[in-house]
Amino acid sequence: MMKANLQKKMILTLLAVLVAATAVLAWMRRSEPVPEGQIQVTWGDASWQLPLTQLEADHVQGELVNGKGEHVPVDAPGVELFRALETLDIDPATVEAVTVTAEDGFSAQLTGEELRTSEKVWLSLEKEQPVLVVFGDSNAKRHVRGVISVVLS
Amino acid sequence: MNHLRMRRLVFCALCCDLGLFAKRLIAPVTNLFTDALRIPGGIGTAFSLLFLVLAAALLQRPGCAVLMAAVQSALAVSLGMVGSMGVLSPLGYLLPGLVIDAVLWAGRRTGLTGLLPVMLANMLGSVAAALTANAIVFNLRGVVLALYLTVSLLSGALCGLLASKLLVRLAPNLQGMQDRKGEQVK
Repeated sequence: MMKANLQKKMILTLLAVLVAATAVLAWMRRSEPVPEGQIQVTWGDASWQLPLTQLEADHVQGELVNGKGEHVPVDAPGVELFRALETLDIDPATVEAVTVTAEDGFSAQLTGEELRTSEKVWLSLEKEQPVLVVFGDSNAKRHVRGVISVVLS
Repeated sequence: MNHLRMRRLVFCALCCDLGLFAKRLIAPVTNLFTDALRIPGGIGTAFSLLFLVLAAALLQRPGCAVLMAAVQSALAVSLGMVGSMGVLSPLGYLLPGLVIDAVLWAGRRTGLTGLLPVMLANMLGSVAAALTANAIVFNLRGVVLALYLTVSLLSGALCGLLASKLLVRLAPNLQGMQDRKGEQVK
């Protein structure tokens, strides 16, 4: 049986290592730049900054179904994702997949077909925060708040 | 059903409910930390697993944590508390339960007693929950995934320590909860 003192030392060492690792990783995470009011769009080696607030806003209206099956109304200014990409001279017809990532690391995947479907995939502005809105999902799993990057493939 | 068995079941049911709702109760506080670190969670789950670890360590029955996790997932599904995992949410309960049982079983087999096995069970259970959530929902990679897992480990360790302290206090008041061959926690 392991002695109590040895066990306490092991626990304290483990906690110290974990605290140090958390601090280092948190510092690395904080030093990653988050562009304000802009979304980074990446396709292969090329990248653009999408100024969402400066695009001509449309009206995002509809209903999302959350994990509990409740219908949540959406009514906010925004722009369809494929139209936003077109402002960067990206042809949505050539996109096969899209990964949208939030500030907290949460991400959602979209197919090229979904991207090109009219009035399905939007980037809305809620409380000055870019939000990915995908209509038609059964559990709002792809409702991404605080979007900072869009990766195309 | 004898009196002892009834006491065990009532205690397990209480821990199931506490585990299920504790996460929501402390969410406003944990969100302060996770928002600051820009990760999607990891602290609340460690706290909710504390109750599973507590019951499993106190009863010392193989499969106790998995059984409680199954009850929790059934309750969560029936109450519509499935979150963004949808129909896969039972996995988010069962896998940590399995890990907790495995760690406590390994601790008993190797004769490891005291704080360490309880703390390890909570830590690894939290990481199992984090990895399951990441595979099903978050899809995190790189530094953010490493930070998410480290925060899960750290909060699991702290909650595990809390569980082991509670265990020391509860064990004398719940005499007879262990199996005959079970060893009192010291």
